[in-house]
Amino acid sequence: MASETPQEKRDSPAERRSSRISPSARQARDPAGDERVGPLAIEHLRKDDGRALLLYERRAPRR
Amino acid sequence: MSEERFNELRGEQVVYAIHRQERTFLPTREHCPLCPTRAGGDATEIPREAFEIAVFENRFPAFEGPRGAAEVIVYTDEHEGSLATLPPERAEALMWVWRHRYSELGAREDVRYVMIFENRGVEVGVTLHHPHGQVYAFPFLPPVPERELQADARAGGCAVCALLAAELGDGRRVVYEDDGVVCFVPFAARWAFEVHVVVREHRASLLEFDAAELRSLAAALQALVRGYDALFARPFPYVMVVHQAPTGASGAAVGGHVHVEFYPPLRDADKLKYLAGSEQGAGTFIADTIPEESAAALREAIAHGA
Repeated sequence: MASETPQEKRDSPAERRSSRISPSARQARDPAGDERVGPLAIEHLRKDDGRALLLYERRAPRR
Repeated sequence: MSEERFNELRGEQVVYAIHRQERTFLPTREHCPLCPTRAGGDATEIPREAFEIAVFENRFPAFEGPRGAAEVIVYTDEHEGSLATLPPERAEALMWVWRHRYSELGAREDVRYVMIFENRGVEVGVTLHHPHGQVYAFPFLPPVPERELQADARAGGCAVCALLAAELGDGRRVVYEDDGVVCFVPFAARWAFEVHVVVREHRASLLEFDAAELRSLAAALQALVRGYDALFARPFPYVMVVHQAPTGASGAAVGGHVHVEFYPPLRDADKLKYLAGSEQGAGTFIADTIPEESAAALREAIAHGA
């Protein structure tokens, strides 16, 4: 297929899913780079089998 | 990978996720996959010795990319407890997590409806007792939210706003309220102790909530579940579903008014309501209780549980 680039072939399902997230869905980041939602800092991890894991923690923004 | 088939006579999708037959079933506390991974213990879903709230892609998903998603939300790293027993600030944090998951999943092009829910109790099929909920990101609009949009069309505006006004005007079925949220047994409840938790202001999704409304929603949910547990002096089983606006391909909310519906299967301390002939074959609920009496009992239980 003309539209299927080599890069797309290499992408995992998780990578394909993340590529469809619109800019409006991305959350604010504090100056130190932490992703945040409200009072929570978000840590993005990837499990050994490729599944996403997010840890939310109530933490003041870094300065 | 799940398979979707359209059931012509019911006019609805059926999802076949046969890999879910293999999912973990009522493990002992020592083998709980939602507990933290402790030194010398089993590796669990969360490779940390402590955490606050964790979300991960379900190992046995009903939906997965590129057609939807299924996630697990773990409320706490403590194995015992419930939504009701979380510290208030943790329950409030959970509302922010719900908001975030709706935002991220609802923005995906393959997602048409984000449903956050919790099944509590073996009576409703719980397979893990550790306090947790789930998110299904449907790749199609399921029948219930579609009917809510049809109710809006019949009402000529927001049906939830109209129903809330009617419940506040009547007052007999209201079981809890504060400045932001009202809880009531609906006029035409299908389950004996069904409750709808409705935000007073019209909000299509949690994205439109401010911090005070999220706090109010958390407090209402905790008060209600404490009341449920006090009602028959036992952990009260329920299915809890957060209803929000469907999400379009553009990620923009369409219709909807945030409310949380509880469907408890108990109709008495030790009697379950089963979906039988009329409910399954005709789609008509036959109720054994009257909402006004259920509301009176639950109102008292909430006051007692506070």
